[in-house]
Amino acid sequence: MSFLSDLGIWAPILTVTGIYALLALGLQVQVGQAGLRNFGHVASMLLGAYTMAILNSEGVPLVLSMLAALAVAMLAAALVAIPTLRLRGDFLAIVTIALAEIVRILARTDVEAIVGRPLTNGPSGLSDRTFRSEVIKPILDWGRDNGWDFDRSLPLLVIVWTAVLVVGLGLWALSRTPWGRVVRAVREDEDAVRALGKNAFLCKVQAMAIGAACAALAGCFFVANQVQFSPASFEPIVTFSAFTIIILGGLGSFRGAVAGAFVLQVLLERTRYIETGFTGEQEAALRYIVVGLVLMALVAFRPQGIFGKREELVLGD
Amino acid sequence: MTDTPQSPLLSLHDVQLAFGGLRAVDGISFDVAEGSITALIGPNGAGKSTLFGIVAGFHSPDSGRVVFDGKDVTRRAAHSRARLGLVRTFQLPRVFARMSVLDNMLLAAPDQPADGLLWAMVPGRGRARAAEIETRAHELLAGFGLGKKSADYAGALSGGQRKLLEFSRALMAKPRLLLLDEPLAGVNPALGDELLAHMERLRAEEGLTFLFVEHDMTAVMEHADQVVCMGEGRLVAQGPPEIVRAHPAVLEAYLGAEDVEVEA
Repeated sequence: MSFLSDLGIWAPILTVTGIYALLALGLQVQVGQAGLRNFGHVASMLLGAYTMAILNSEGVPLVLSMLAALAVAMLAAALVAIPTLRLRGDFLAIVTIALAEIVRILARTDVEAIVGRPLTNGPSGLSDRTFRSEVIKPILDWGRDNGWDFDRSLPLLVIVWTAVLVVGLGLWALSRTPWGRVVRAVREDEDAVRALGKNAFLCKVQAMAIGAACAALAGCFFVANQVQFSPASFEPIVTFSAFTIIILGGLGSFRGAVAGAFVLQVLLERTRYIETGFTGEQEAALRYIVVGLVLMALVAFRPQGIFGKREELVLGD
Repeated sequence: MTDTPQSPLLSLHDVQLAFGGLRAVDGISFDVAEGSITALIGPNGAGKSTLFGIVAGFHSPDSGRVVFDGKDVTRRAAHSRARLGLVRTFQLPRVFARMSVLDNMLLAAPDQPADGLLWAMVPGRGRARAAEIETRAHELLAGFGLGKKSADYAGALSGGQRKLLEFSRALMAKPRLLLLDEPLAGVNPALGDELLAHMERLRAEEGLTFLFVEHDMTAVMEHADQVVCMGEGRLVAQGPPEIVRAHPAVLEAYLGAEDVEVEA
């Protein structure tokens, strides 16, 4: 059990990997399965994170505030979907990235003027004192309190990866139902789907909401894993990372989303601990250069990603 | 074969649609009797495809009514019309390229409860229906000579095979009226004859009604009970093939247009 008492650098890396895997699983439903280029995915994560953190600090039980976080993100995605899903392809991408920025900037300016009390605490965000200590600590210390000597980050790590497993398997199973078939058909040709009597629009709204729920769950775990977070944690780069993950893993593949998250996080985070002799700034730049090179190599030699299907790439538009 | 229509399966009442200043469809009215084959002809740009879109629910007319099986469907969404049995195909066949031929077929089946998200989440729900649907899909694919292709990606099919897949997929949707947009375009003559034979057989065996847009005049004259000719958005002539063929206004509509392809 000695390695469990000190997971060292792998605990934080794997926890963040799990969080990104959840985020990417949601994006995989929207982009990989339904073909909806949602470039505002991080907004769902933000809504989930803030909803959970705020409700928590108000004393709402953990599970309830997580459920509320999912509900808020799903509702927001569905509401946004109704006017915007008539847009196709690139137009949807532009509108969603703008909407995500609006959400982030609203959180940064705080919504005090609208709701009459400080809610998101502006640019400094929410910290440990407001929610983490009371709510997350019992979970983190659960092992120690029961007399077991294991790493304090283990409980959260296990919870996050259980969620990844459950969500991943659930989405995979759902994609194999007749509903999943309609979703993929919408990606191929929406008009033909309508001509065959299926409600393509409803299906797209549902795919958006399911993807948003995954992102919100990622947001909840993100909060649980942080001492402090602020709107700066939800810049568009998070969405781009999720896109990188699903391209790495293979569009449309759920295990690809998990594998892609692992590859990206190991490239970005594990390399922090390699002694290179460069300055910190140089190393940070170097890590992204490595990610870029890996992506380029992938596109050149395995364009379908780790688990993608080559035929689907060739046959696609 | 031309029955005296009791109440028509489809009727259009003074349908109009303008795109900006262009009156694409300008006051079209006609009926399609149940069990009949109606051809919609006219030179390029006459508004046939737009009218087709209006009937199928892909365009909303500015005025006028579309009545299907006694119900006013003018404001109904396309998918809801398809569920009533008003199913269209496209000028260029639209298959779901990155899905298998069989999945293309299965998707089109109506009454699969698990097409809905909530039922899909109930394990086993829709399985009984799935078995029926699959049997039917294999029957249809075999009938259209695609039996051996069912596991292939639809995107890997040839142009002619895609046309056959789209036709058989439309049949999976249990249509009462099939709207075929240029079923013979880009199809070799042998395959064209096969498609027309399928059309006649389905009408005879299952009482299916057809409305098709077509430029191939031989096919129109041989297979249609009724021909409707459009020109510049208006109805030029309508009636049995032999009457429409000799109608001076029809000749003028074609000869007045740039490309002449009337005689055959």
